[in-house]
Amino acid sequence: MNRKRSNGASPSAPLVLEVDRVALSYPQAAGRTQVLGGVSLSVGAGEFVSLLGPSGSGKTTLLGLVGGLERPDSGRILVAGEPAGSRPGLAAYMPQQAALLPWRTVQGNIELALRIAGRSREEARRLAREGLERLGLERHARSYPQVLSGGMQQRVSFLRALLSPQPLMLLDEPFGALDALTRQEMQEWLLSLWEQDRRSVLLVTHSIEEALLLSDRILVLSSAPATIVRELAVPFGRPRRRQLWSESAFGELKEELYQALRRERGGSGEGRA
Amino acid sequence: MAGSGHRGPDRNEADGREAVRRDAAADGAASERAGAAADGAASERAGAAADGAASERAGAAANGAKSARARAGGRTRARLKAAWPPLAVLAALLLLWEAAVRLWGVEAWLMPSPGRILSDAWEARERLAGHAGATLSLTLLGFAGGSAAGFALAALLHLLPLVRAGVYPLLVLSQNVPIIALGPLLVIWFGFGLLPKLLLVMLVCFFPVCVAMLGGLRGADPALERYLRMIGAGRWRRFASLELPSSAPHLFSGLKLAASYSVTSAVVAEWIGSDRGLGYFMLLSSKGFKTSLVFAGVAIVVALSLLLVAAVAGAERLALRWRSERGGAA
Repeated sequence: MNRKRSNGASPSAPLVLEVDRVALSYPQAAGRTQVLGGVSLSVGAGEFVSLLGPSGSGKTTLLGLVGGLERPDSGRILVAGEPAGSRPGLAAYMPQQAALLPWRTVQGNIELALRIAGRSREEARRLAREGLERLGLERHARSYPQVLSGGMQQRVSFLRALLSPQPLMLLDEPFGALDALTRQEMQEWLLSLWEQDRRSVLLVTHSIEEALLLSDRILVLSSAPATIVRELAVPFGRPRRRQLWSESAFGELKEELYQALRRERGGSGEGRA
Repeated sequence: MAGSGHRGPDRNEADGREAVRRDAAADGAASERAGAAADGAASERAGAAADGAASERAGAAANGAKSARARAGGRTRARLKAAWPPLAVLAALLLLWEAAVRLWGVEAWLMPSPGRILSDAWEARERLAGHAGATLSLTLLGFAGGSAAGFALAALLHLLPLVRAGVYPLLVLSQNVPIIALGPLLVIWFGFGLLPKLLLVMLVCFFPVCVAMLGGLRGADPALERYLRMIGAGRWRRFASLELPSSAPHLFSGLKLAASYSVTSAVVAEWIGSDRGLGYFMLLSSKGFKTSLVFAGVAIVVALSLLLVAAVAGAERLALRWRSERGGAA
C-alpha cells in the first residue's frame, strides 16, 4: 500500500514506517472525541518526511502510537515490518524537551539509551564516546545536562537518537522550545549530520520553513480529527543549505503550505465541529 | 522529683545517693572552674563550626568546575556570617544561666550551672561514654533497620499499584499513632531484651522513610517517563533509572526526619526497660538528684542527634552532587 507515495526515496526501497488508516478517539465528558480520523502515511528507507499541522492536531499522539505507547482504535502501523507495540523500542525518539536525566552526565545519558536499545555496557560506552567526539561535543561528556544551554541539550538528545540502532527516527518538534536563532543553527546542524548517514526520519513540526529545509516530503495534517490533507514532494536537491530560503521556489512552496494550513485552521470551525 | 526518687528500685536509689555525696565534695572546686570552662567551650564550638563549614564548602568546590571555587568561597563567608549570630546568642544564654545560678545561689540538685554540668560530666565521663555507646549502637541499628524496611516496602508498594492503593492511606493514617507510646506494649510482648527497644526505634524510623519514598517515587518527570517508554525501557528499567533516582531527594528528607527522631526514641526505649544506655542513665541520675548528669545526658543526646542528621545530610550532598551543578555554566 501507499508505495507510490514514497517518491522521495528510491521506489524499490522497503518502507520503514507504514501507517494505514489509523483512527483514535478518547473518552470525554460528552461521548468520545475523535483525535485521528484515518491517517495513512509512509516513510521509505533513507527518507526524511515531515508532518506539518496546526497545534492540537494529534501529531504527538500519532508518534505515541508509532512508539507503541497506545493502540489505535482501528488501522495498522508497521515499524520496519513489525506491528507497533509488538516489541518495545522499535523506533529511536527525540522529544521536544531534551528529556535528559539530570543525575546522569551527558555521556551517561547516551549510554543509558544505548543500553535500553540492547547494546552491551562496553559497546554503549565506546559508541557514546565516539559519537560525542564526532560531533565535537566531547568537552561536555562529563557535564550534567542542566549546565548546558537549550541548544546544546538538544544536540545531545539528537546524538542519542542518532546512535540508537533502530532504522526509524521520530523527531517530535525537536527545536520547538528554542529561540529563533538557535533554532536556525540547529536546523542546519541537523541537516548536515543527517545528510551524512541518511536515516529514515519522521519529523513532527509546525514550522513551514523547517519542514521545507529538511524534508524530502511534507504531509499536512488537518485539525482534529486528523487526516492527511496535502502531500508535497520537496524538489530541492541535496546537500541543501540555508541559502534555499532566498530562492523564489522556496517562497512559493512556503506560501502554498501556509495557505493549506490556514484553510485547515479556518475550516475546522465550520466543517468539523 | 523527690517522689520519683523514693518510688524507684532500691538499687537505683543507693546508686543515686552515692552520686549525690560525691557531687557535694566536688562542688566548691567545680563552681570556680565553671565560668572559664563555659567561655572556653562556647568559643571552641564556634571555631569548630566555622572550620567544618569551611572544609565542607571547600570539598564541594573541588568537585565542581573551577569557576565554582570562587562561588564556594563566597558561600563560606555567607555561612560564617549566618552562623555567628545564633552562636553568640547561645554563648550569651549560657553565661546568663551561669550568672543567675551563682547570683541567687540556686542549689545544684535543682538547677546546676553550665560549668557544674561540664565538670560533673567530666568526672562521670567513663560511665557517660559507656551509656552513650550503648544508645548510639541501639540508635544506629534501629535507624538502619527501620529505614531499610521503609525503603523496601515503599519500593514494593510502588511496583504493585493495587496493593499501594490499599495500604498507602493506612500508612498515612498510622503516622498519627504515637509510636513511642507503644513502648510499654513492646516490653509486654518481647520482654526486657534488645528486641523491644530495637523494634521501637525501627518503627519510629520506618514511617517517615516509607511515606517520603512513596511520594518521591510518584514524582518522576512525566516527560522523562514518556521518553523512556518510547525508546522501549521496561518497567524495571524505568524504576531503576528514573523513579528511584528522582525519589532520592524525598528519601533523604525522610532519612533526616528519621535520624532526628531515632536518638530520642532510643532514649525513650531505654527509659521503658533497660539496664544501660543514656535513657537508663538519665532516669537513674534524676532519681538520685544528680541533676547535672541529667543535663549532661540531654546534651549528649542532642549532640548524637545533630551528628546523625549531619551524617545523613553529608550523604545527601554526596549522592545528589548533580544538583549542586544546577545553574552552573549555563
